[in-house]
Amino acid sequence: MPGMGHPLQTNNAFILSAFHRSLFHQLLFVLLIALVVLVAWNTLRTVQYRRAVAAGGSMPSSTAYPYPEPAARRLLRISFGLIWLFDGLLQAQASMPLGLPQGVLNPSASSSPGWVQHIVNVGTTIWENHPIPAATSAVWIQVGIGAALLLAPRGRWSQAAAILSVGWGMVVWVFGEAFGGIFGHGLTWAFGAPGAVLFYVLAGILVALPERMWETPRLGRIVTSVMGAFFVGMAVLQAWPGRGFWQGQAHGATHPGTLTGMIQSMAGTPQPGIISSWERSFASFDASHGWAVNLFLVIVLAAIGLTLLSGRKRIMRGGVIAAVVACLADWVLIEDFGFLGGVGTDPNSMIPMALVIVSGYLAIAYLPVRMEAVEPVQPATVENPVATTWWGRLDPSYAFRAIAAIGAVAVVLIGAAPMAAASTNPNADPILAEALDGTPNLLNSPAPPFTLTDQQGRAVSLASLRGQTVVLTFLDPVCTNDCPIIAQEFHQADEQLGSQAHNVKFIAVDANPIYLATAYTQAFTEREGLAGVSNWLYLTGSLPTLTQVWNSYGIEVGVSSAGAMVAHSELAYIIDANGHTRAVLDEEQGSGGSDQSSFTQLLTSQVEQVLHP
Amino acid sequence: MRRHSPAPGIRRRWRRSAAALAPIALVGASVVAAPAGASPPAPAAPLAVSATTTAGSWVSVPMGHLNDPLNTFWELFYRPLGSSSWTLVTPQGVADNGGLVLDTTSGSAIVGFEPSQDLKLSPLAASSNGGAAWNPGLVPQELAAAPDALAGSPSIDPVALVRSDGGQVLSLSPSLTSSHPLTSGTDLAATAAGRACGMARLTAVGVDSLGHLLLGSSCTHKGQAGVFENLSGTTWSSAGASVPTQFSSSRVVRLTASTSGTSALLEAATAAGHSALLASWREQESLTWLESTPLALASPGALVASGTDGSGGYVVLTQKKGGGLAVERIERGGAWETFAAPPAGTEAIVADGSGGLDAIAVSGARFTDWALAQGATSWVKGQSIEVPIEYGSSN
Repeated sequence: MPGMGHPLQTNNAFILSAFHRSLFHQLLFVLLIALVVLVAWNTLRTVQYRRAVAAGGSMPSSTAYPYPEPAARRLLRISFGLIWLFDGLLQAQASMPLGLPQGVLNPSASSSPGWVQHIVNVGTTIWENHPIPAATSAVWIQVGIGAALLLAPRGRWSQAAAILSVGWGMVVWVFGEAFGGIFGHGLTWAFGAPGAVLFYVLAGILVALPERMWETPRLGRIVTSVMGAFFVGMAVLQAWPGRGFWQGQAHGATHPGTLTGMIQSMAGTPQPGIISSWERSFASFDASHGWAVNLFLVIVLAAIGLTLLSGRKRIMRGGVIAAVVACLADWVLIEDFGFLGGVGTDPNSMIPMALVIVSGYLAIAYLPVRMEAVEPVQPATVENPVATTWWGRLDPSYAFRAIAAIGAVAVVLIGAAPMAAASTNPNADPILAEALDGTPNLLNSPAPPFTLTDQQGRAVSLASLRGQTVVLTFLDPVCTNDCPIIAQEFHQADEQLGSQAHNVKFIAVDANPIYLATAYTQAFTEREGLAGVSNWLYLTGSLPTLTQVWNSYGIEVGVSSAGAMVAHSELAYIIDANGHTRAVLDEEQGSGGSDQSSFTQLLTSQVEQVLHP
Repeated sequence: MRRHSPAPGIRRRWRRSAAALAPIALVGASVVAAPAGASPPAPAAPLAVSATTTAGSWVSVPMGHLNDPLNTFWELFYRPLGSSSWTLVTPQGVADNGGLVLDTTSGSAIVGFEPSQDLKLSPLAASSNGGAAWNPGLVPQELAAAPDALAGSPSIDPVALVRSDGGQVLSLSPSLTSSHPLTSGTDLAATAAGRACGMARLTAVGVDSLGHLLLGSSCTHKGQAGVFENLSGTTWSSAGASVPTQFSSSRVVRLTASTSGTSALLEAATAAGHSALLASWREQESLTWLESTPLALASPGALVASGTDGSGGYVVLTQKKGGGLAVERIERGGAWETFAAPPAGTEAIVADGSGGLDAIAVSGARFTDWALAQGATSWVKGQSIEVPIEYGSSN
């Protein structure tokens, strides 16, 4: 019925089943890659061992690095590797295919200027059009990047993994976090500015730097200075008058202050009751002590920033500890752990931020110590034939890590390839329409005959269209929502059929028992841009004639009272050249452009099947 | 030419400073990105209207969930002269979430449906028996969102004002199923009369009792009122209306004709942003205009509803400064008269034709008529109607 359109629920069983099926299929590929990695490594080890035993030599076991991996770099690489893995697993949540655009992408851009929303909308549209490839790709890309960071050997392999992390991080920061909200109003450290993934990007850049840069405290000082300036800047922003942070909800104000409002909205998201309870308690505390809470926050942020900028290790250590405590408190009390609620994509910004600050401090306080007695790469000798080949000289650990890194990149490609293919297709996947309306009902029965009048006043009968495929629907010429959309879907299907459309007639029959004259079908045709479409017909007739046609096609039409539109069944019949109904499609409309595009795809494919059985 | 590199220490400090400045720039950008207070666009004239004719009174009010456009349904009620009972007469077959436009000047009633959602044309419905039966019709474009976007007269075909082209005026066939364009706001703005007024767009159509088409517009020049006529049949000229020179802009909100002559209700604004309502009447014989004193409005767009009394007078419902509603009436050639504050939920005011007023209060699907008899100081609750609204039918 028009006016009864409904959006797909995020837990739609049809979509969920397809998502899980797709994840499972890709998991099989991932397991295959893991198997190949293990077999390759084992083969290498076996060959090395046999050759070594045969030659009476030893397995290669040396390393080319004069010092262990710097503590700061190791912290960043391992922690962000684990976070990417965790984020990848979060992407496998059931709500992701349909829930992410409305639950995460659009809200994150809602307070940003139009140009940011426009950019985010590009990503949102791709996700909405192709929810299954998009959701599964996010899983495997992030799992692959995490694995690559964790497993890739030091040097260029590890740097390459970090660059991969930076690249994907930028994509997520722009399209998923709307630039972390930095162009929107209400920017505040307390709510995770400037976006969690920007810290992933920062960490990736640091890991991607040549390792020699970690040999001196300089890099650490740059990191702590940047973070110090960031905290001072955030303190200034927090203290800026007129941004609503100094107000709680005291003195009978009708609207809560900015921070109180944010915490209250977070408390309302789906999560365990105990966490909601903490949030509400803190929101209530902030509501009654908004000024004091903000003053405390400003002082804490400024103090952390100044200590990090001080450049003195002992003072900085206190600042780092304070920053970690503040980040953890914010993570629990305000950010709500970030990943709960079904569409949480990451643990939010506080943990990554704290890790970057700690790594900056470690890079100053714990410089890598050169190992004096490092053995150089085992030289090839005549006595050790294993080392005469390039693979024979490989350190087994290095070999394993290199093979694993290749496997991790393959996992990234498993995710990225289908998504890349899907994103080049501007049309939505038909699965959305099937999830909304069910799969088409396939038949092969004679279509009921009719003779009606088209928008030009000419008589048209179904029998006169024998030899052509007819796509038949029922539209109200003065309906305000579904009917104009269905007409546009027919128009788009006509365009997508291209040259095949010359043998197809797209026909609508008037479904309003009051607005029956050809003036209405003609005006509708013109206003919908269909006047120039030669194979479009909008038919009408007397009420008794129309009633007979409606009944014969099972179309229910009801006049509603009190300003509501006429309610009628929304079905599309595909009638073949012999006058037989071959498919019936439910046309209930969803709530967005993706649903319409998806129905167009479904309709086009069904017409093609009738044209080319 | 090779540049001298700065000393290593200086370069290092510069880089650290630059790196440290980036987050500060972020803060600056964020403060700059805060929304600035922009002046709001001029609000459209409210579609909640009433009209009292020699046969009876009509009133069109929004009902349902008024904070949800898709669950706000406009309902039309009719009360025959001498009766105390309203009847729900909303024409069927079209979703009216966009609002209704009502014209009763031709003797019968014509209702236009403002387009909403994806509808790109405006269905019509006409009744000659007080809404007991309706005949369908159509404006093949989007009707302007103005209370006087339709006008009729016993002597000429109905006209409609649509949104395109600065307000295009269409002449409708008597059957209301075909139309042809007469003129447009863009064309009118280019005439000498349009330039003199600083015309922005057409806002109302009317037909005087002699069957002459009148057009109302917004004007951006001081002291100008945009009422135009085309007596020669070839050139549009000012009908002679004006507003006091203290007003730097004006807009015709209502343009109505009665047996006594033509009336206009205008909203005018000073350069300082103070708004007021003014009524103007044209004498049938001398063709001169008589202006009322201004009625100060709390803010631009404070007009909530308007009604015509059938003899050139208006009754208005306005938002008061600090909240609450006010009811004012002006009779032809008279002065603004203020009445007791209407009951909560009042959405429209009706001049009952015998000196009294009706306040139509809406609460969800409930329509309640409150009456204020001539000379009385308090509103008396009258008839209530529970309207069968189909919530969700337009979602």
